Amino acid sequence: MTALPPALIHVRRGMVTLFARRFLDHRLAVASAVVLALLALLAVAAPVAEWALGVDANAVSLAARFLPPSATHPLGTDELGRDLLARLLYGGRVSLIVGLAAALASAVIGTVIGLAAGYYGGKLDIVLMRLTDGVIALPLLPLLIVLAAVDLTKIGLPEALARDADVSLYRMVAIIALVSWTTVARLVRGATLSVREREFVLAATACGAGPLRIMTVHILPNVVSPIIVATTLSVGNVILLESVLSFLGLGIQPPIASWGNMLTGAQELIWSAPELVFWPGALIFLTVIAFNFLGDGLQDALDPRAIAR
Amino acid sequence: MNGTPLLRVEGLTRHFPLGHGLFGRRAGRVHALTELSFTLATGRTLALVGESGCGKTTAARAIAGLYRPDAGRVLFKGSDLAGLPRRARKDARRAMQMVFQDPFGSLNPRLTVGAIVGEPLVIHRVGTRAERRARVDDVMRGVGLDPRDGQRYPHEFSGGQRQRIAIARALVIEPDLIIADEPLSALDVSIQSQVLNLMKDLQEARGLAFLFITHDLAVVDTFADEVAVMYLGRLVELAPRDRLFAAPRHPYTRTLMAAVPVPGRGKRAPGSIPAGEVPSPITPPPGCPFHPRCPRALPVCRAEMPELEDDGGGSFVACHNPEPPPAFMPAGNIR
Repeated sequence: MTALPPALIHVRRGMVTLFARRFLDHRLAVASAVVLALLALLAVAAPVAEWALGVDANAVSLAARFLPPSATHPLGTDELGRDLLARLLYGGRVSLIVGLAAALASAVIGTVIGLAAGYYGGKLDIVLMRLTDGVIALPLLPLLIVLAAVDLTKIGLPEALARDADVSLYRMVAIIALVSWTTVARLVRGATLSVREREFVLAATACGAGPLRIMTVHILPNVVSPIIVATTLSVGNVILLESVLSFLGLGIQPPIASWGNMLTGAQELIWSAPELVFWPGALIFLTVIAFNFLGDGLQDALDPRAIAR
Repeated sequence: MNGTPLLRVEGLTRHFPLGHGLFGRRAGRVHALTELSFTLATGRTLALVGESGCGKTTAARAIAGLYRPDAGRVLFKGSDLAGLPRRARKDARRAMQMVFQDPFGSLNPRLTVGAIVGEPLVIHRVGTRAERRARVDDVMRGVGLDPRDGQRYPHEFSGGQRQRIAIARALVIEPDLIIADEPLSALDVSIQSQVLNLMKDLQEARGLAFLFITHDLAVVDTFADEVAVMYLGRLVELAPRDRLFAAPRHPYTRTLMAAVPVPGRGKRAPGSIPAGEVPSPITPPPGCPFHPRCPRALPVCRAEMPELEDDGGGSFVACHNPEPPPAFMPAGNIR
């Protein structure tokens, strides 16, 4: 009775293996993961590439405008004579950082709100869910434009900080996180409602566990799968939002490169220099679709119905 | 009932609202538990029996403080849990632990068995980490598990082993009372007897009191000191085990017992299965809830709810026309 049959001993490892096997079966997801890893590596290596090529992503040179691809400029130069490859790599940095940071921030906000609404229920649930509905109902683009136009010095940020070049990046993350937590909040609330009624939660309550312990130890670990999937899927959306805002001139401010503002710069040159539109557009497309496939793959692999309990 | 009352339940009532309309209109109530009263002494076992849906689980959860009662009180060691401030209530809960019906649902799948068994110690801040570990190992050995299994996860165990884990969790904090809500019904018969024997041994070794909820009268026969029979949310009979089995006073108890197939002990008594369906707990019949199915029903049963009364022989029965007391029955007729 006490000793487990040897066959059972490896079940836990088996569960992880099962997850890995399911994920690996999803070829598009695996390919996406590889593509994203490659993109991330390249973005991290942007300064190295700059150094190896002997170029500066932000150095303007009127003599070197619209150069065709060459050894020093593998993808040529843009309308201001800047190296296109170096700018794409730096732009990838911005897109990925904004995408991951904003998706994580909105996952945190959404998880806290969803857990509280689902666990406490009652009036708090009603208030939080109407707030969620309200945020979903807001017209996104006008709101983002208004938020992006807020003068940071007017809301009490010191002058020096507000003028910092990186601030447009943080601002972007904050704005996007503020509007995109709703999906996670709803998912977590739904999952919490069902986990809350499970007997192990009652058992902990009967034993005297407080709400914080119930939520963090008993409910949260049982609702992580939908959070992971939703967060992965939202990274793609966030990158799109960032591109849109930067394209409208409200996101990442030049000279910092982002895929979105590279498109803005290139929009009038679409006939004369189509490659300036093609590269950032293709990278946005590739990244977003890769995150979507990755999310799908994770969803299938984490599906609780498919995992032996 | 001798000894000091460890648990006294007085008029415990819980009615669940049946959803409500858009503007808070109540659509009705489920009369899950109505005016349940009993006492349980230290080291004794009270079995709460009845059909599915008769309010046994509601009773267990209301007593454990998981449901706020609509009326009535639960006095544990003389103090009303609901009336205590939070901190004191938490302390009081130390001494009252619960074992659930479904050993697959009552263990958090994301925690190791060691963490599950040790959780009450963490919640009540007992001992240092090392002391807690030692205590967990101890208790796991006590219920027949290998302490090394503490590293594993619940899904690696069989149903019987999981119920042992659940019992270890209830025991680790050394309670005086264990409320067990059908702890055997999810287990195979062979495992049932193992777990039952384990609980009996633990009761003898530690002087535990059990509130044992079940629908299995065979289990009641081997384990209980007293038996409380519930029907449609109400207590209909409360009696010492031997007396209840020898001479059930309430017609419902009688039909319930006669419905148990006993191998090698002849046929079921004719007419033992009550006629008709259990009435809906949303609209319980007026008067005695059992009267529509009762073979001994009188006109008064339709109108008046009988009170639970002492019959003078140790049984409490809520019936206007109870079965005759044992004196008028030939000995050994039923058992």
